[in-house]
Amino acid sequence: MIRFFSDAAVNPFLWSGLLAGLLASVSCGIVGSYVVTRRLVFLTGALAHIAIGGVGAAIYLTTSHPELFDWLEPIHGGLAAAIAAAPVLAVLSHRVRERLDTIVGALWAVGMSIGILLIKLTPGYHTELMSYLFGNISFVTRGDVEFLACLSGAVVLIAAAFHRRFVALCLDAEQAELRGIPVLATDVVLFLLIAVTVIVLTQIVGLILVIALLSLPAAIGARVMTRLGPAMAVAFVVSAVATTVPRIAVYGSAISPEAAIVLFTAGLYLLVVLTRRRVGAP
Amino acid sequence: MRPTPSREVSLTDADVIRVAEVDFRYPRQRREALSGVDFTVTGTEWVALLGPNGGGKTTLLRLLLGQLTPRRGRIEVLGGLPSRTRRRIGYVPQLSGIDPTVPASVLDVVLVGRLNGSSWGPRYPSRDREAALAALEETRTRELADRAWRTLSGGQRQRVLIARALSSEVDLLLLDEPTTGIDIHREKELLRLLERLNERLPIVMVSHDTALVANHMDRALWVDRTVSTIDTGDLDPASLERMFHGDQP
Repeated sequence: MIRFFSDAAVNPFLWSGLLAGLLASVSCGIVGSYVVTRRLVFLTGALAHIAIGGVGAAIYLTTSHPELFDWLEPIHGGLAAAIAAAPVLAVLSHRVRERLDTIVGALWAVGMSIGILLIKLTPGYHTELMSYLFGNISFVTRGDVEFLACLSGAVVLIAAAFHRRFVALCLDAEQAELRGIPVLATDVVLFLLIAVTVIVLTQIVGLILVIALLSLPAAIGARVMTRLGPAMAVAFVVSAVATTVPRIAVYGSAISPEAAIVLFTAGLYLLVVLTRRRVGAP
Repeated sequence: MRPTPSREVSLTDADVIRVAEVDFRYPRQRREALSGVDFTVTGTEWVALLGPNGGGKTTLLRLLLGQLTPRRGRIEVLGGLPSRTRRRIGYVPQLSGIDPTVPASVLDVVLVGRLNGSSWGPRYPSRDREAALAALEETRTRELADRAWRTLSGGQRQRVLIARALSSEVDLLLLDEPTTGIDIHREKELLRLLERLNERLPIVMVSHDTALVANHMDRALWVDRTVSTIDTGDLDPASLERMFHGDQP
């Protein structure tokens, strides 16, 4: 831990990593709470894995046609794929009454397979895919932090504008529809928000582990609070602690900081489940 | 005693609900779920929808709410198409769709009834909160406003859902089996509440409770793929019971 702070004095990447964790915690607290209360964890997992297809496509294009796609970063591909998939998944979740889990599972696998296929077709050896799959919090650049800040700001603004509608969907989508709220359109916005948040969190823990940060802090918040607003605040604090403390604690050791973040959060959730009953439960 | 088909539809300005020659069939189904449905509800009637499971009671409610569209015929609720007037209809569903694990207060649940197409931003304006609290007051659940939804009993939940329906200043109440799963004491409280509300509001209510229908409601509609009218004044619980067991139109 001491080594982290002594190295941080000369290595700005370490501070960037912490700042990125805090910025991501904002989206994690807000959007994660919608995901958990609207029971969209599985669909969110599908979005994360479909994004891998976009990452693979971006790596393939930049390598095979550098003259055209020099500007393209793998995360841009992931963002494009997630944003394209979000409305499709929203529509499927409304229209498909049976076998939704099968269809979503198939999209999940196909997205990931496309990513792996394109990486294999790309000449040379590419470490980018591994860093997007498993995260690379130790090498977050100033540009990455700026990108995260913009995405997090967009998430906060959109969530603030739609909060009452999102809460109504989480509570009772049928009543929301009867009150004149376009439920499918609102869900499309929510899924787009989730897509952006998935990409934000990818910078921290990678696409494979993103689902943990989107569900566990929010699940803790929902368990210890009786209203959604305070539950979001708890989820933010848990995410902020989870992306900071384990990261500092394992610094300099052989333990992956991304895995430590997820295991710490899972341990915290288990602790809350075991030690306290759901607040307000009869 | 057998109910008579309600073919004589007299339409007046006092009609709250007018249903004329309505057929409805679900997609990819061969049979009509409802066929040749005619009835009206007028003034502040309290009307029961009775009938066997799968007979079309909930389908009829969904048609009245404009969630489903008839294949043939016409439905008017509160003087217009249900899809246009449904914001003036208070609907209390059969089983609450509210996930008990969702972190929400009772007031949060009632405030959903105040939503409309111009609801933007993170907080409800104070007039919405006041209307929601007034609706809780009317259902005598004001003291529950800050309680977590998941802590409520079945009877309390039904009263809060009625408050949610009332919070949007409605002109008609549609209830789908509101007494299901609550004990006899809470059921009596709920009926007293509905009687009070019925002094100013028409109520259409799905129920399987034949005693409740015979003792409290003005009229019953027997729904079994078509709709027939029963005058509950002529009925006793035993005859209604017999209808449920096969002696039906």
